[in-house]
Amino acid sequence: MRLNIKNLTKRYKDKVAVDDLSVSLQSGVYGLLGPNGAGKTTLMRMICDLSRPDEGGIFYNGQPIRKLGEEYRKVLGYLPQNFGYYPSFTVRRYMEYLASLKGLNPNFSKRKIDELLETVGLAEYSQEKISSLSGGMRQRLGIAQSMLNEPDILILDEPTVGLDPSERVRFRNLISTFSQDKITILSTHIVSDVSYIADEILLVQQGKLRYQGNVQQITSGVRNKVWEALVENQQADVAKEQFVISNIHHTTRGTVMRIISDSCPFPGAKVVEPTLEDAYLYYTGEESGEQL
Amino acid sequence: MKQNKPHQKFTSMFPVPETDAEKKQAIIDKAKKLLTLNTKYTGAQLNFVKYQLLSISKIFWVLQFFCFVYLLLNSSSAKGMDDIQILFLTIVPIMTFYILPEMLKSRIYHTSETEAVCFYSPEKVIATKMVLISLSNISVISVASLICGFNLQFNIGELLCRGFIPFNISAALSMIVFNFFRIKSSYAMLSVSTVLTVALIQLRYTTILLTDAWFAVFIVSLLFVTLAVTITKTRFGRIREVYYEAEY
Repeated sequence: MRLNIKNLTKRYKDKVAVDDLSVSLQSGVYGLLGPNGAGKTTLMRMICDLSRPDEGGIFYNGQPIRKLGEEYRKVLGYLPQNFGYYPSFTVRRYMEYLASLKGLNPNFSKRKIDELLETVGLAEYSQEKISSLSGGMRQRLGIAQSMLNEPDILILDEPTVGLDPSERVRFRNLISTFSQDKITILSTHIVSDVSYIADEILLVQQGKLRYQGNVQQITSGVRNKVWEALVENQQADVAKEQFVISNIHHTTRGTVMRIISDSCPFPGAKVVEPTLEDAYLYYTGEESGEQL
Repeated sequence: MKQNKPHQKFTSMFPVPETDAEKKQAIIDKAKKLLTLNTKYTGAQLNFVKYQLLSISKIFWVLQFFCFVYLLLNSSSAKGMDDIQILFLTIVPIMTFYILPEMLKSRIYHTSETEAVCFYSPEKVIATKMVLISLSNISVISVASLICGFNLQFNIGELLCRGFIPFNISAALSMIVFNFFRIKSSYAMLSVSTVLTVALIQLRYTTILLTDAWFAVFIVSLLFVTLAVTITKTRFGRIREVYYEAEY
């Protein structure tokens, strides 16, 4: 199973959302990382054939996905960022409705719906209206619907939004179990989710693929570039202007800063082991913000 | 007891090489996957139609029922074809009120993205829904025309054509709104549908529909609805793109 993305470009008026992006994907979990507006959602939509590229193409096992049409959609599972639902539908009715759209046999879909609702912890809410569910529950329902047809290609756009820590752990385990012999692409702002389950990271910035590699490879690239220093509060304000800061922790002795810099930022600063979050900040040059 | 010797002799002609357990398991898994694939999609078409039918708003079915009853009750007091035409022009637009909301439903509730990656394309979903709604409308018009025709000794063919005039116009207008207007809220959708319905009801005293020109009007309405279907079919690919891009 292979998904080839070749020289993909997508423009919105004067903005280039995806810029000459090429990547070849095989079975495994791919974490799509990048700041807001980097082109992640546009890329995912093009992989789902929801949006047409201006240049380049996407090929599934050597065949252009646009030509494959419903044969391609048969192997596709997708959770969009803004996952909508009909307010009058119950959880089970919604799953049954989507199973019918996915062209599934009624007996198979019944079995699969029971299994998935159990897995995502919504079995006891199957007769509840979707509108009465919490945000996290709706997100779990979205994840369940994307797996209904046991897709070979699973695309999840911000799947962990609204999930509490235990739900996120459950989600990670579910993806790890599900994604054997499948291509799973997940985009998230929560770097730790990606670092736990992704076999490979795709770092996208300004529509371009900036980095591709596993967590070890990507973090080894910033080895000796992540520093920790105890500074005075005034110094901390200056440092914020000069360096990319991965973490700030105020203590009674001063401010402990985790700084990303090619050279030693302060006398006495010591090199620390980099994390995926540090690597992300190094490659994108972004400040640590809420989205992380 | 069965005599197995001939079979043994036959199978011994094709020796199977010994293989390790892992390879055997891999073959079993592949066979299981193929068997599942065969059963995974059987009976899907009927299931798809069933759930499209179930997804149509309950209000639509209630409206169909009341319109049918109203048509029957009032047609018995009709004195001539003009009265029947006025009745059709009053009731049929109400019956077709739900065409536009059903066409726009997935756009309004933001489900189009999830649905568009499913095996059955949005084109097929909308086409199926329109066929189901139209069949229901056409059935009501046909049954009411047949009953009227028999009871009041009117020409059934003429009654059917007169009944289909408002249906064709309403369906065509709904498709044109669907193609050319980007309606994003349920209030806007219901308002547009109400305006269309009221505008069509206002046609009920239009002289041309009440005179002998009814057949020409029917043919024009038929051409109008055919044109609307062709436009929808041609433009759908582009519209689909516009929907998703709008949410970007």
